[in-house]
Amino acid sequence: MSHDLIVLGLLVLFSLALGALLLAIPRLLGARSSQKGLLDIFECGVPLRDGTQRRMQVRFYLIAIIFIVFDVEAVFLFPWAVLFRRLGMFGFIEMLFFIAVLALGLVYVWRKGGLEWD
Amino acid sequence: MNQTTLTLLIDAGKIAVILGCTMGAVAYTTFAERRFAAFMQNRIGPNRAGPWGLLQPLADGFKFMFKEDFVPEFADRFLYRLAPIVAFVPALLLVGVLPFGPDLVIGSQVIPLQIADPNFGVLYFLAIASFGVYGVIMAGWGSNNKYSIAGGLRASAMMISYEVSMGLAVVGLIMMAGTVHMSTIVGQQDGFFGWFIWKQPLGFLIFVVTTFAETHRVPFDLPEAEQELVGGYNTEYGSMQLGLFQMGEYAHLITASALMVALYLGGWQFPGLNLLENSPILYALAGLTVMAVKVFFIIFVFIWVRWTIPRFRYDQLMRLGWKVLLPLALLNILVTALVILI
Amino acid sequence: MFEGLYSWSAVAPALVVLATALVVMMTDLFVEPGNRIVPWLTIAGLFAGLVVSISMWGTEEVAFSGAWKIGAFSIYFYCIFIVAAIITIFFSMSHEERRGRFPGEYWSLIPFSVVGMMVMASAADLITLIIGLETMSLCAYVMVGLNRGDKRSSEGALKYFLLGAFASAFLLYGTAFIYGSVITTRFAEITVFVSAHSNAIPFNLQVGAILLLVGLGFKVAAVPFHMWAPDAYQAAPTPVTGFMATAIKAAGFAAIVKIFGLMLATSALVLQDLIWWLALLSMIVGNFAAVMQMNLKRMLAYSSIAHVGYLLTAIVGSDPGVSLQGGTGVLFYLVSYALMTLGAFGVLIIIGGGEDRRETLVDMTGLASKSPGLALAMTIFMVSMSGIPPTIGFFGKFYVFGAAVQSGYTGLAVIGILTSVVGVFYYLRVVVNMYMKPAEKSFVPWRRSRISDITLGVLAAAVLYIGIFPQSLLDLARSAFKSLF
Repeated sequence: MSHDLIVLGLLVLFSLALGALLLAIPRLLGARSSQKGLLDIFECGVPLRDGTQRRMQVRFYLIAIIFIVFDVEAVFLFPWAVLFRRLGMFGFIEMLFFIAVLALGLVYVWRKGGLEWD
Repeated sequence: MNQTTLTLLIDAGKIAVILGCTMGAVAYTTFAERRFAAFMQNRIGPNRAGPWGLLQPLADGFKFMFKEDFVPEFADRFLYRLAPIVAFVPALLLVGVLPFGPDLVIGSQVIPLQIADPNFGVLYFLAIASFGVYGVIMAGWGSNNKYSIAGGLRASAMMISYEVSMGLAVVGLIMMAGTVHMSTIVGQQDGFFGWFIWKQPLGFLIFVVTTFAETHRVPFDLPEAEQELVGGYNTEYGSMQLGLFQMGEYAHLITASALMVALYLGGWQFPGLNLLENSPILYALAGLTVMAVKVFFIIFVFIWVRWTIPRFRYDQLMRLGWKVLLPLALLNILVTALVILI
Repeated sequence: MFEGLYSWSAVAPALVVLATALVVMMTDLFVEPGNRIVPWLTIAGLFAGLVVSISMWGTEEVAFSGAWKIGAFSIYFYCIFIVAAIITIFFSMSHEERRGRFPGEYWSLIPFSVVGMMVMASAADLITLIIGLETMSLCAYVMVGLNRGDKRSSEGALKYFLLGAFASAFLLYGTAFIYGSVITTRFAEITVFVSAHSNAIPFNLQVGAILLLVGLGFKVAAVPFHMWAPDAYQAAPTPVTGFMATAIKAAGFAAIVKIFGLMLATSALVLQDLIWWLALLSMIVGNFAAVMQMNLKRMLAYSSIAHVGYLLTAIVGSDPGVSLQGGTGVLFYLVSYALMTLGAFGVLIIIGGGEDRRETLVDMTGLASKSPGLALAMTIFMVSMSGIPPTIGFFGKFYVFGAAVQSGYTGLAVIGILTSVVGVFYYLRVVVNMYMKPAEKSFVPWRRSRISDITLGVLAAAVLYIGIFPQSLLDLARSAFKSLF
């Protein structure tokens, strides 16, 4: 177990090193120019119009909240799924209840139009 | 040299080899994609660099290296610099728990063909895979560009929508397997009809669709929809930073395909393969080959789909994720539970 | 494999209410907005929950490996919560006729928050308690902010939400500290630990207990953690304010009685001195600030702070090993407070309406000549709140101050009585306005709704009846408190 973690840690180090190495190369070899307009914000070739930090559609926020709800549900489901055979009927009924409550939540969001994008 | 040091050395070697192979696979997946695309569209495709164009990926890589590395004027320097790393590294980390073949026995040394086999294998994969969304949103926000922000938001909303269904689809499989230990799951898929795809057809389907979304592949490539968003969240990127995003995407594609193979398509197992069990080295090599062929097949399907199916509209995409896949995934869990109990 | 781990019967009342909430939520989605079936369905479900609760009176059961305990204490509180919820829904229906519709979710939020309160009342574990508290609070945050268009209302709701979230953090942190020194979150085990170590309480436990007090103090709005209360009370639609002032406060006190009146009831904890200060400050600040209020909702908010002070006097230094009077007093007081507060808010709902909010002292002038019945009811509630016999409020105060005297806090009891005298001033000022001043504003004639009239009548009758025959309620309260240990 701890050996696995050490190896995974090694993997993280190796991957980070690879990423850093790849990023370092163009700094050494890459072109150097100070072309006018290179550092400007890209706007399809025209001068920048309006700021970039504008109000975003609230739906993105809504989706994030709904995601949290259902992802937490999934988190609870994993340990249950592993032990499913041992829990038997008891586990099934308990989880049925849990999923049913969340499914009602989905029905609610659905009917209220929380999932529409028009 | 004692056993612990030897094991660590072997592990380090394995990591180096597997990362190297992944990078190579990334390079040649891009090439394969271009050649297949050309074939399907009745074009020729890249064929100048080297015999049959085989050196094309190298040429692409070198081109990235000689491009200017810059940070746009109004970007958030920290996020802008960090985003490519955050997009690239987790995609590589995903190889950590993938089983590539049976144990390789050399003398008295048993080398599992897997970097690590922790008892939380599948969870590790799902957890690291969901890191991808951070890179995307950091790039979008850090670039301080309308197209980037819109692309980043779209991408993250899409990815989290599909992540839920992906997790729930895997739950059905875990119920069948009774474990999240990778090598055990592969070990359970003995014989052709032991593959989990036959026991979890609906789960497999959901998993495939969500994998398309997680890896931003067509028909779910909304984050980079170039007709409407220029380049999406990586509009402002160039040079190797852009390269890291693209390599990360392909690496994610490869590892996700490998996970799909390991979970649903029997991993490195193939009927008749255990005839070789007496000669361990041959057995291990055969297992590796089977795994590679299966993964390549899945990647081929991804490429095939890309040049066959048009892109979804964004509202269709969200509708599919929340109103079709999520209820189906819940249904899948329910049906699986009933099947196991009866 | 799971014997003793779960028990349907122990959670039956909570399940009935939870099912009600879910059914109501789903029904609301599929009927046209404003359909009367939704509130009636809620009432029916809550009533079923009440019947189930009462039928379980006398049983006692520990379930979920000790995290849940249902007994007379929990059922006593279940009844308070459910009755308060039903009355709130009656009032909400007549509030709707004047002020426009509530969103459909409102009807399911009430049973949802009742479920949270029920979990709190039967929690035998700090974690269970916090889950219940959060369930309740989340619903309350939403209900307070229902007047979305109104700026002041949104401000109050946001204040309530932020401070409530802050208080939850305190509670969790305190729980962590207590777990750190006792290695358990079960009430029973902590009680054993505290009495075994009463001469050397670990520092972490002291800190954890104080953090719990801060968290729960926020939730029941004890001074100095009361700043959100007047704004939130004013922000919320009036029926919600009534619900907050009664059911939510009762749930908070269910937790306080369990934790500070029983589990940590030892003078070895610094905590007990702090509760003394909390009680003192709440009584003084609540009463004197209420004098200044011209808005009746704000006045009732401050008066509810003062009542928290009275309730805390009964908890200070109450040692259930010596006498049951402290806990019994709190339980009795909570019922009396719920009856008269719901009544007072009910009157405000009936006179308020239309464009004009009609919730200030001036709006009450001349009410006696316009609507003698309403004025009489309001008088009964105000008299009861100020603690004048023969009303239930008198006995409530009598028992809590008696408990304080008995456990040797005579000074606190005296201050309590003195501040009650201040209370008499501002409560009776309402009565003076109703009876002795000519109407300063012309009333728009309002539609009377029979439901709220009957409810008000029943409440006023209960206030008087129990005020004359308090014994049976007192016995119930005593056996409820006794069931805790």
